[in-house]
Amino acid sequence: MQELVGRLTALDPQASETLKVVSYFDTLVGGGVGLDSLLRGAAVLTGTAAGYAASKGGRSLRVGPGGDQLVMTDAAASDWPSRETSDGSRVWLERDGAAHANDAMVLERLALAVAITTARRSNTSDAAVEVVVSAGASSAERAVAAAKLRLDAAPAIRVVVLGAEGPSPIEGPTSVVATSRGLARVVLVVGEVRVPAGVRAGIGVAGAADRLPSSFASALIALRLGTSVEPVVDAAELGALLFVAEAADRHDEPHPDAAALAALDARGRSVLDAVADAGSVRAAASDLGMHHSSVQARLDALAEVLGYDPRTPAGRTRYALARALAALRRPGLGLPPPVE
Amino acid sequence: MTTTTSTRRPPFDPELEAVLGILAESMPSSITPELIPLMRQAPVVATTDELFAEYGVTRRDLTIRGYADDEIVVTVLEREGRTGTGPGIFHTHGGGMIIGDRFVGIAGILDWIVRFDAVCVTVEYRLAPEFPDPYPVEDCYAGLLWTAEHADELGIDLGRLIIAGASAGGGLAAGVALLARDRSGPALAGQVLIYPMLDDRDATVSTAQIDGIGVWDRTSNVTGWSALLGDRRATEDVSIYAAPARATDLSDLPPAFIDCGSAEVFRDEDVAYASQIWADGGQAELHVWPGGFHGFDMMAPHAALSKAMVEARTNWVARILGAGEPPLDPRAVSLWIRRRPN
Repeated sequence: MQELVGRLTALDPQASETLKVVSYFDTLVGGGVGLDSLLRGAAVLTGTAAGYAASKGGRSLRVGPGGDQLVMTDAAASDWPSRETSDGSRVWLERDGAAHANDAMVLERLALAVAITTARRSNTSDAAVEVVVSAGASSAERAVAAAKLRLDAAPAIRVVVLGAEGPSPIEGPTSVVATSRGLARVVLVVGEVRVPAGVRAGIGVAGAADRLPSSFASALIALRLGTSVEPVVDAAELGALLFVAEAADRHDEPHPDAAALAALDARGRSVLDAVADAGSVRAAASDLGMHHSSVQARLDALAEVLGYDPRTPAGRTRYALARALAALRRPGLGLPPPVE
Repeated sequence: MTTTTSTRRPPFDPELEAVLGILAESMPSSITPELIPLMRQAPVVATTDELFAEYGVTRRDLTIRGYADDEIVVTVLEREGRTGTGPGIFHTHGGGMIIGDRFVGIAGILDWIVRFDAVCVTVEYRLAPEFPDPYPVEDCYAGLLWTAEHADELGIDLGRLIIAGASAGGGLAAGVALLARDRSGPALAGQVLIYPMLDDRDATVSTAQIDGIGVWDRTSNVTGWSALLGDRRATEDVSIYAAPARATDLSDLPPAFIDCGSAEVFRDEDVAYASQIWADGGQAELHVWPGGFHGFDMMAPHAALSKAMVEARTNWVARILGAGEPPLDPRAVSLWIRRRPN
């Protein structure tokens, strides 16, 4: 009953109450309260003013022991018992005189609570990006996330997938997400996709927000099909190859044609690729710097190994598909390892 | 962390729940009859005279006639140097009918005394179980009568006299308002029922939900009501003045302000009381604060929800007192005094 309580919420200055302090802040963090609530909680618990200053001169806050917000002073945080949080901001207690038994524990748990809360808040759009491309999230969850990102009404959004290292090279809501093949950066793009030169990227099919999981899936396939020669692949230009790739992904064992390619040496691969890319043996020989008849001889030998002739129309199609499936079997996202 | 019960209940607001964790040791959720003496000894809120000095409020203790013509004490509180006529606040303190004194919960009233330049009369009604029903509510009614009779000397405008109480005090305020209606006076401009204790029957959903947790749980409630009513608790033999939830006609009552938390024993009876007032064509303002336990505004005044609760109450009082009738014609007042029963 309220009538029994005096100022009981301020802890005894002499008695160490570690468990109570931990539980107190855990309850606040578990309840998803904001920074001002955390500071209020600390101020009331200790009976002193509590303060917070974001790193790099961002937001700052002072709360009195009654829970009221106070004017910021010029006094540095360092004038008071304080603690740095994991993201470089600082919290302090304006304790005059000797520290009370629980001051240090309150500061420690406050700092932790502040770091968790700040991280939660600033990661809002990250989390929303992850949700919105996730096939595992319900359509309701994805709709909420799309609204948060203001994409709910956009008619055509494309997911672009890139390597996870470094900041995003493209404009748009972005997050690094974990896929079954490793970490990837996801960017949601409305309108034109502009990828800087030399950057590997996969562009997913366009659709409304509720189709983003498909766009994401197609973007991943597109990324995995890329090469240093063709770093940016647009799923919309793959035609039925997208279909074939999805089918191949559903099998653990490689298609025999892809396995056969993987078994070839680099020289053989480059001849086949040159013929496929150039469109004719003559042009390929020119690109390779080989004599036309040497290339023909190589191709004869390769056709024996492969079991089909890539110079025939059917063989050309078969090779194109095999090549794509082989690319898809590269480990991870098929990206070159990051440069140190 | 609070212990969980098997009955689902609304969650506590996190700021408030954190405070409950700190207080749990010193404040048992379940108060049983054996604990009454201990609870009566517990330290009361910050020494009252210090508090009065802080607010610049003067205190006068007076002895008046209570129920059965016994002597009881009231205290008159007003701003130092106050003159003239203004609003009056008759205060009935809380304590489950079994503990507390007339200064319990007075801090919130002090704010109104200063803000509205009001005079407060707070009554030391006798407590159960030593003084069972009808002593508490009748002592309170006697105090209100005295206040109205002495309005001139006290500087109270009889058109702007409100009654206010929290918890058991809220129940008593509601009971006194019913007595005032049924005994044709005194006239009240409003009744502030702060998380009021209205129903002895222990039969609502919220009484079942708040069992072994929070503040003033089901067990405590049965303890308080049993002390007040003895074997009559939850029988036909309980008057509407002792348990206002029993009243089926809430017409012709002064406008009511009712508040409570969503996670307290009194939630459903408080909501029902407001609903009955409306059904009977009356005026009531109801606030149910999400995640609030009983008395949370006093135990965690720093919390955002507590501030909102207090502000809503104060806003209502401001509207009631601001919109009050001009002071009554003194002759009409003395006519009423001569006419009242007994």
